[in-house]
This record gives sequence, C-alpha cells and structure tokens, in this order.
Amino acid sequence: MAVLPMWLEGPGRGFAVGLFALALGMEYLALSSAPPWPTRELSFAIYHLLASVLAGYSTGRLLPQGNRAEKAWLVYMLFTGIALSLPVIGALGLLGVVVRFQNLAGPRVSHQFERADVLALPERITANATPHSNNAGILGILQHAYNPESRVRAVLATRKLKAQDAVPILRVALKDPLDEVRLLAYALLDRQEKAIHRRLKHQLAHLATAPPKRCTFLHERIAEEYWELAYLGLAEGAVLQHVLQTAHEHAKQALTAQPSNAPLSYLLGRILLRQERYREAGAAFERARALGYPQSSLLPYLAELAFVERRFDDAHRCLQEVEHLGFRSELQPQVKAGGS
Amino acid sequence: MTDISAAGNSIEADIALLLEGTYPFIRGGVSTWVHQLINGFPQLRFALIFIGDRRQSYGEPRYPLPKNIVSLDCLYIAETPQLGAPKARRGYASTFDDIRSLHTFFRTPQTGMSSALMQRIANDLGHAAGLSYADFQWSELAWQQITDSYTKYSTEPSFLDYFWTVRSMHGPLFALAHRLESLPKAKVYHAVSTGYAGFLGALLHYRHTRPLILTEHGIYTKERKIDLSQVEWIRDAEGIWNTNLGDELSYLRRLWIRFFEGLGRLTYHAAEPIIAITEGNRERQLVDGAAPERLRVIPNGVSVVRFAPLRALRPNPVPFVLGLIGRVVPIKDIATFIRAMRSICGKQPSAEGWIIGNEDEDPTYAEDCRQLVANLGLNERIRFLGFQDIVELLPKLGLMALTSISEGLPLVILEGFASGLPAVTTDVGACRELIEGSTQDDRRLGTAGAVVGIADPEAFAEAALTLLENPLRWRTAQQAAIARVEKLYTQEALFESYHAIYAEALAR
Repeated sequence: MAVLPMWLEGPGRGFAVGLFALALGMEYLALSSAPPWPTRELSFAIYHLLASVLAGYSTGRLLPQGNRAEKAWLVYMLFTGIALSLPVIGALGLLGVVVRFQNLAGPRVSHQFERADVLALPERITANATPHSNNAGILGILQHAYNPESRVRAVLATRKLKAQDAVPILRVALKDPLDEVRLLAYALLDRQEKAIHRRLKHQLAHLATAPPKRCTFLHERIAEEYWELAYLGLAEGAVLQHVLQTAHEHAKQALTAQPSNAPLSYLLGRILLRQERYREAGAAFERARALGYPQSSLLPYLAELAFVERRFDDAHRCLQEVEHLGFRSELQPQVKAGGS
Repeated sequence: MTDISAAGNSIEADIALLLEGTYPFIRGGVSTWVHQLINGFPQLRFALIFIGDRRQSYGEPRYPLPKNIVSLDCLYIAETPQLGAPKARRGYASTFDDIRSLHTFFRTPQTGMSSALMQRIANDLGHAAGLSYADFQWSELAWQQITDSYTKYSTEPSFLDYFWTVRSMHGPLFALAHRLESLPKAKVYHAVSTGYAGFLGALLHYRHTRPLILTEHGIYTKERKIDLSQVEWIRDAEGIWNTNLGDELSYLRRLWIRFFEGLGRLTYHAAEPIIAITEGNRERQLVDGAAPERLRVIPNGVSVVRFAPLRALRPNPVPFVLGLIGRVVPIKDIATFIRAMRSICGKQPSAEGWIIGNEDEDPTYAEDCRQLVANLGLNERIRFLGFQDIVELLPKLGLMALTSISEGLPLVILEGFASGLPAVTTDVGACRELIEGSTQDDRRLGTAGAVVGIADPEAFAEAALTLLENPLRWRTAQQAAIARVEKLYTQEALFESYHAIYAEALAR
C-alpha cells in the first residue's frame, strides 16, 4: 500500500490538493480555446483570476501549520498575487515552494505550550542555586592538585562560597608554593577584611558625636563588625583576643542602654563563648532565651557550652532538641553524632 | 675600567632609561637602584624617559639629578593625541592585517611572531599612513576587527563594556607612539620594567634600530595580574547570561591581563639582554616568553662602605624597635606588620614599630593602616615616620621588618645587612636567599634573621620575638648578614656586570 507523503496527510490537506488541481484546470481553460465569453481576453481574465485565487488559497492551506501566519488571509492574498502575475508557472512555483517547505519543516509534534492568560506563581522559591563545586572539593584541589592552574581556579571559585566557608580555604591557599595562588588568596582575604574595616571606620567616626539613642545603635553595629572579624576567621592570635574584647565592650555598652535586646544578648553570649568565659556566656544565652530568642539558634551554643563544662547529658539533650527541630544542614553531622 | 663612553654628534645620549612610575618622581627600591646606576657610570650620558599616568600625579623629582643626566622627558599615558571631529575613514587593510596577526600571537604565543611584523607595526603606529589614533577610533576596519573579536572570543554579554575596554586599553599606546619622534635619540635604550616602558623601548628599538636592554626588578606582568584580579573598576558580568562558572576571572579581566602579557612578550622579543635580579624571576621570565639565551641574573648590590660605619653606632642591648622601611602601599602589606605588632606588644609592652616610608602614593591605604593601628589600640606603639634618611635611622632599629606580599631583591634588606641589622621577612622574591643563603657556600655563612609565610602576623611576631629576646641569636644573625652582603651583594659587583653589558650594547 502506497504511503502518502507527509505533507498530504492531515485534515483538509486532500481538499487543498483538490482545489489546486481545480486551479490548474482553470488555467488550462484560460489558455485553451474554450468558448470566449464575451471576449477572448475577458474569458482569459476570468478563468485566470479564478485559477489564481484557487491556487493561492490551496497552496496557503498546504503550508505546514507552524509556518502559517496568524493572519492566514494575508498569505492567501500573497500567493494569489504570485499566481496571478505568472500564469501557470506561478501556481506550479508555489506548489514547489510548499513541497520544499514540507521537507525543511521538522518532525511534526503536538503543541508543547499551553496558552494561558495569567500564570500562577509558585508559592515559594523551590530551586536552589547549586554551586558547581563544594568546599571539600575546592580544598582538596588546593591541597593536592599538581596542576597550578587548577589551584588558581580553586582560589577563584571561593568567591562563590559564603564568607565563613571561603576564609579557611583561602588561609590554606596562603601557604601554596605558587606565588600566584598565594597572592590571589591574599587579595580575596584582603577584600573581605577591608569591607569590614571601612564600615568600622564610618561607625567609629560617628560614635563621637552621635546622640545617645544613635550611640546605642552604633555600639551594637560596631560590636557586630568586630564579631564578624572573629567569626570569619579574619583575626587570629593576639589580634583575635583584642577584637573579641573590643566587641565585648561595645556589646555591653549597647546592652546597658537596651537590656531587653534579645539579639544583642545572643551576640554577647557568642563573644563570651569564644573568649572562653563560659559562665558569663551561659548567663547571656539564658537571658536571650528568656527574652524570646529562637531556640533553634540558641541550642547549638548551649550544647557547646554544656560540652566544654563537661555536662555531657545536657549537651546530649540539647542536640536531641536540635534534631527534633530539624534545621541547618551544616550542623547535621554534629547533630547526628551527638544525638546518637 | 675601560672607557665605554660613546662619541657621535647625532646621538644625544648614550643610554636612555625608560622608567614607568619610578625614578625620579617616586621614592623606592627601584628608584634607588636607578640613582645608584646613573651615579656609578659618570662618564656615560643618560637620558631619562619617565612614563606616568597623568601630569598632576607627580610633583618635583625626589632625587637630586646627577650631572650626567642630559635630559628628562615625561610621557603621560592619559594624554592621548587630540582629535577633531570624527571623520569617516576606511583604514589601511595591510596595517589591520598586521594588527590581526599580532593579536593572534597574543592569544596563541606558541605561534611565534616575526621581527618583520613588529618592525612594520612600530613604523605604522601613530602614523597617518599607517595606524593613526583617528584610524583606531573611527575607521571601518577598526570597527570590523573589534566586532569580529567580540563575536568570536568574548564570553560575556556586554558589547558596550567590551568596546570601551578595548578603547581605553589602546589609548595609552597611541599616547606613547605620538611622542616617539620628540624623544631624545640614544645609542642604547634600557627599560627598567616591561609594561608601557618596555613597550616604548620595543618601539624605539624597531624604529631606530638600536639595542634595547631590559632589567626587571619585580615581574610587571605578574603584579598586574594580581592587581587586575581584584580591582573594582572592572565590572564583572552577572546574571543568567554569564557563562563564567565562577572558577575563572571575568572575560574583561582576562582581556586586561592578556594585554599586559602581550606588552611583556613584545618587550622580551625586542630586548637583549633580559636581566632578572633573582633566579626565581628569571624562571618566571622564561614562562612568560623570554628566550633563554637572552636571560641573565644580576643581583642588586649596595655600598658597604656607606653603611659599615653604622655598625659601631648600635646600642647595647638591642632596642625593641622593629622598622619597616618602605612605601605605604598595599603590596608592602603594612597591615600584617601592624597586626604582628599587636602580638609583640602583648608580650613586650615596650616594643615599638616604626613605619618609615612615603604615604602619599596611596593615601587611602595609608589611612586604612592608621585606622587599623587605632582599631588595635596601638597608637602609642606604632609610629608613621614618613620618608627618612635611613643612615640616621638604621642604628636605632633592633630588627628590619619586611611583610611584603611581593618583592624582587629588596635593597633595604641589603642596606640593613650592611649596617649590621638582621631581618625578619616574608617568603617572597629573593628574601629566603638573602636570609638563609642560596648556594651551599652561601648557606654556610649562616641565617641572617627569619623567613615566615605571607599574611601570617602570629608567625612574624614569634620570629621577631625569638630574635629580639635572645641576644646571642641576634648577634649570630647579624654576623651572617654582614658576611653575606660583603661577599655577594656589593655595589662594585653590580657595576662590573653592567659595565660589561653597556660596553657590549654600545658597541653594537
């Protein structure tokens, strides 16, 4: 059984082909010695016009669906005009174009898009930007890759990490045997630190002349900036001790004016914990809890405090509560280890 | 010493020194070296060709100009040739073909480049019948080349950013080419870095067919690469069209880096000999495209005679004063020194840190350093002394400190050694060779201080305290320092090497 060419398949296509055949018939009548009516020229004009309209419409209908313009009548008129201006040849040419178009058109597929006037937005963002390399991968490259170019790229890749993840990796890179790796790591570390020091400079300058309420706010901000230096690992040794002490002093000043500031109590607790002043840290965390600071943030520090004070049962209980609350993937290993 | 001064009325100078951002307007190690070199050859006539960014950045010369300097010409790369109203033009096809070949060489250096090509480009650059600045700005061929390159190579979306980067990158080259004919003629050109100075040297070499000598103290290309990786005036493309996965620099940064790498390659192609001051730098020059047979190593040297008398002026016990002698600029990493002083003062409350160097080259950084001193509560312990006569200062120091993140062969360490002062330095450039020795014979002379990693204030503080708290160890380090500088790093050895090089070049 003969298989029809693809362009003949589908609804309406046979009808369009029939119309085209009729158009050719009309052309023949126009050119033949059919009865002239009322004159030879008028007879030719009428038959040729009819043939052109039929050829234009039928070849327009034969175009692949995707190639038809929204205003199909424009296509029909264009094709009619072509057939009109070139007797017989125009019609045959149009058919040839349509056949060629069928060969160029891709496999017929059903509509992939659903047309809608208004798109429903997702309720919340579900897609996460996954970095193409994680911390362990970057650190591994820095420590073990033989190719220096790989190590340079690893340093550059830290720009996509969070600051607290990038800084320890960059410190490892500072000891790289290749000058370029060391200098790039230095530049990236320096950029982090410079940003904090510039903010500090601005805040300290305002502190001298600010009114009391503003002063309290500035003390809090300055404490946070100094804490940031410690937290990110940008300060070490004696500089770290100095930075923590300065953060402590500013936090205490702010708390004196705002004793019911829960986030400030929480910050003070973290500073004191880092300074290994455990009893005071515990008191600060308890105050933050009493003021309503979220348990999910407090529990890991309370667990750490309990651990260093050798209250292992309390540490275990805190970690179980953390697991129960179920949060912060970076703490999962510690939570799983402590909870079991 | 054989007389090597040249004769000839048509030659205005024997040696033209090409100096980018250094002597005589900026104080520093390289400037001191240049001043020393000129004074070391009083029978030669030197022309100075200084290249800076813009006129208002520089004041009066910081050094008294020796009598054998016959001229001082200043070129500013921001002063591009003045053009009138834009005029449509085609450009010269053969010139643009040459430029295309040159850029192919920059992208794929292994393809090599012929001297004939460079000769043609040097002759055409800045000429109305070759590649004028107007042609670069307005010609059809220039536009075609820029758009072709953007389409083929750029991985980032903004054509506007790409276009203006190319414009601003090439402007300085036309600024230099524009002044070529007005520069003094010399028998030999001597560039003291690659970059714009080296490029100008290459142009002069090809135009006048005179030898070009290159001496590199640091590695210009490497330093530009580090700068360009972090400058904030290059905007990195962000967003979904950015194909950069984050583990490489943005295309525009890489374009700038390749530009300076290209200038370096052009200089290496034209220069002979190519002199490094350390073996490490020589190896880097090889990697950057210098021909091995043209490379030499000539270390810096100091006048031991000038500094030796200072040894007798040292007080006993050794003062707890660390001196960092250098410009207050980011590459010196003064911040690490300040942080180290925080640790040192924690254990030795009477310790002092003196920062001795100009602060006006980078006022923002100098202010950041002062702020850091204040933030760390060291206002009473750290002093910013500005530029000082080091002959007066050296006897008052207990230790020379160097916390730079990049160096060549620091003259200031050698000067300290000659005056009997050990040093604690970061492990950059030739510092380890200076402190610990390079060859076996050299290492037998002993350790002249300590070397620590960069940006490690705790390690620096520990090394400094170990030396200052132990008089015997300090004395041993002092003896090693004196022995090393007297054996290997004298001014006489430096002048002897350059005498041979100048004599050979002048005879070509």
